[in-house]
Amino acid sequence: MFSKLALVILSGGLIGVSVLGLRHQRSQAQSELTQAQLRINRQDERLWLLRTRIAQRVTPRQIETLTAGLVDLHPIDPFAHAGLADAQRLAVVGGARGFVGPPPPEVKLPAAGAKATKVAMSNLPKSKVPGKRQPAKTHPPTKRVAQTPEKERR
Amino acid sequence: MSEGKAEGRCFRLYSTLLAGALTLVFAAVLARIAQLQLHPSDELVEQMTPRVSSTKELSLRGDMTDRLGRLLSATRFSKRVVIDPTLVADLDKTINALAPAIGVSSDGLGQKLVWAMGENRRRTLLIEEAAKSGSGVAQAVEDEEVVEAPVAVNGVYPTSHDDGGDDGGAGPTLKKPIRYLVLSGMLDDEQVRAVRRVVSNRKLKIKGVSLESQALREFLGGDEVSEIVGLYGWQGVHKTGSEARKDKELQGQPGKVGYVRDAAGTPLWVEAGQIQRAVPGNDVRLSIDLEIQRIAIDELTRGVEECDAQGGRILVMDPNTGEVLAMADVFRPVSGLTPLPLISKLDAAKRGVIAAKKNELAGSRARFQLVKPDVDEHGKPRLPGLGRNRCVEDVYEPGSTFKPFVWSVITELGRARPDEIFDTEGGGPWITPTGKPIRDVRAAATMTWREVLINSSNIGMIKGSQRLSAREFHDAVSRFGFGKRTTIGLPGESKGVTTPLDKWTVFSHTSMAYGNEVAVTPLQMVRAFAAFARNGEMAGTMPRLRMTASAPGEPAGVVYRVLPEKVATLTREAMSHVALSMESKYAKVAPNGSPWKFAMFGKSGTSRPPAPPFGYLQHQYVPSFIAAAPFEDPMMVVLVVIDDPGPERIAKRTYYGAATAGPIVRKVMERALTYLGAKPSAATVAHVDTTQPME
Repeated sequence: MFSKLALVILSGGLIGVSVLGLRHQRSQAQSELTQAQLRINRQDERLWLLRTRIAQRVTPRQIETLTAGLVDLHPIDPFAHAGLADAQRLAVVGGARGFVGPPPPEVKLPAAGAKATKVAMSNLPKSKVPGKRQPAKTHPPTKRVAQTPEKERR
Repeated sequence: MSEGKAEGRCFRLYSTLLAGALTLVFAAVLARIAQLQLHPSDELVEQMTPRVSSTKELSLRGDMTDRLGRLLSATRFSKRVVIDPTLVADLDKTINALAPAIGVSSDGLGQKLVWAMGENRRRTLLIEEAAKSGSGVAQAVEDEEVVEAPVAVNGVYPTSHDDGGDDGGAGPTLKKPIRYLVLSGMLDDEQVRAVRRVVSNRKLKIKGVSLESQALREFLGGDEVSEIVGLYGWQGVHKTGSEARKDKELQGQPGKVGYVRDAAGTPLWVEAGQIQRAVPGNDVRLSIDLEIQRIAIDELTRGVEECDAQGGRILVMDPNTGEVLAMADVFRPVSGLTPLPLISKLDAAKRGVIAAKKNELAGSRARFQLVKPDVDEHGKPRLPGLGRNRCVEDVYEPGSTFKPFVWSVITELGRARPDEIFDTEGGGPWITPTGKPIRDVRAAATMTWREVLINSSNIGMIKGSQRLSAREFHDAVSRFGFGKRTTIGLPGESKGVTTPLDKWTVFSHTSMAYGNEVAVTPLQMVRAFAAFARNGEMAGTMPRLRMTASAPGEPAGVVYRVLPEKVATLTREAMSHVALSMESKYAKVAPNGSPWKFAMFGKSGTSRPPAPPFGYLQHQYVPSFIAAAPFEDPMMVVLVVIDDPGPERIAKRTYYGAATAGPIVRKVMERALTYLGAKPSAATVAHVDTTQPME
């Protein structure tokens, strides 16, 4: 009788401890999740703060002030290195406006596509025409690498 | 045998006793549980309330950016110090530790805390008295709003009397002790670190202090765009500018997180379904380009300085989409200005008073104040975001910049051909039909109708406008949108001043031909001028102005035709000569010595500032220049208005629009188009007669 009673009490105790342990683990997991969420929120706030600081430092005015004493900056002119054909095309557009001035040189402009490329390329020195085979001496001879057979590689 | 029986009896006895004892223990435990559940003590009731708290998740207000995504205003979170005065154990220690950390004086912080603690003692006493007397006083309530310490008078805080407030006959309302008191404004990083050090220092044992996050709107575009962006006040109470106009789009929805906490208030976990995430607001992309705005302000400021003017205005617009790219006004303090004379209604009613004053003003050589500084009622400069936007709110007389509109309508109606010869009376003086003598700046015996516009001949324009009926002239003014507000939606926009048809006189007819008796805002002017700056089928139509950037491929908005395509192109061609003439005389080359890259067309104008009711000021001017470029495919309309060039400019006769505003427009156009990567024009300077002065 005593042993039975002791067994019942002990079992009850064990079950209680197990349930409490499980409850504690659940609480701990949820607590960690919450803490993680709070950390994410803090990181977000930090990110927003940094974002505004960066924005403050990269306004056009700030960049101008920053670079004023360092280098002599000029705006990039996309047309400064335009090919002759581009320059002539621009000249034709400008001349059509009715301004008084020296007429632009007459150029037969291609419509588009391959012909236009040909006209543009024909004005360039032969050695610099892209896509043309260059003399062998400008390139060092390439070293032939023995190809590993597919089977061996595997 | 008997021994065995005795042992059995003994064991049964012990077992019965043990079982009885256990039963008693269990019964006692059960009784205690029943007592705790049914009649717990007061102390326990307080502890038994569910330890669940909720915290508000602040929503992030959307960003406001310029057209290229540069941040103009954005929200970030900042910390401030709050305290629960009921938890403060050592007042002196708390004050001495916190004051240097948050950068305030110990006195100020001490007075705040002492007031709160005194107030708490008073409230506690009142609650206790009410409980003792059992006078049926309602339960104490918490403060509805965040408590702030009242302003101290001679270092002493007044006592609160709000406990005796009458709530409709139901007895006085008692308030619970203050548990939330804000001690500081927004802290910087260093201050936050200092406060954290103080709070975490176990030796100091400071309790009740915490750091609270608050959303803070940061204006990153700076003063340059402050008038456009506006302001967003603390917690959104006051809003101005685009912050107010786009508030619905920008604001998000706050969220809520409910969590279980322990007795110390530490968050333990969040129950399922207790997270309601905040929804951030949408971003708004303004049409403003921060770099073009900077260029515009730089050149305008320099130009205003060179002209010794009182101020200036600039507006840059994309004529194809109607987007405002830059908008700014500059005020320059000038010493020795005379305020414009005021006259009371009583004096104005007296006969001869106004005429006498008018004569006095005409003879005066004083320089009158035309632009007032943006100050509040106490004379302090206003916050930049609260300032007046003179490009939208203030009108000016366009002068000769109005001529292209009249010229194009006369041409459209076929009342004059571009090559028709007009007798321009050798430049005058010529007496108008109203009896007013008129002169031309550029004198010529005759001019073609096209040259009338190029040379800005007042005589030619008046003679041309005589061929229009009053209705036709009035319709011509209205169709370009003058006298009506634009659809841009900026606050305080003026609709300008035009003469209504029923008040139209012969004076209106002659004056409006050269841009007098009409007042426009810079915004109206650029919108109307866009009709000449649009290409192809769009030529002759007006854009719908907008302050937000258009999405790629978005239609150009509502447009309506004001001129046939051909007439718009014809007017534009004539104006290209005006721009070339201005360049050859006042802005031959770019500041770096190279020729201008972009050909433009435009018109200059000069008017006298009005001084109602005394007419116009005779020795001061408001010159302006409006232009578009590149000529072949305009990407930009720029208008510059200069308020009152200095006396030296007037003496040298270089106060005209072409001499003052023209070079500014030219430089802004060049820099802004280069920045945008526009194709340079291949134009050369035309052969324009520059021996004659031009307006």
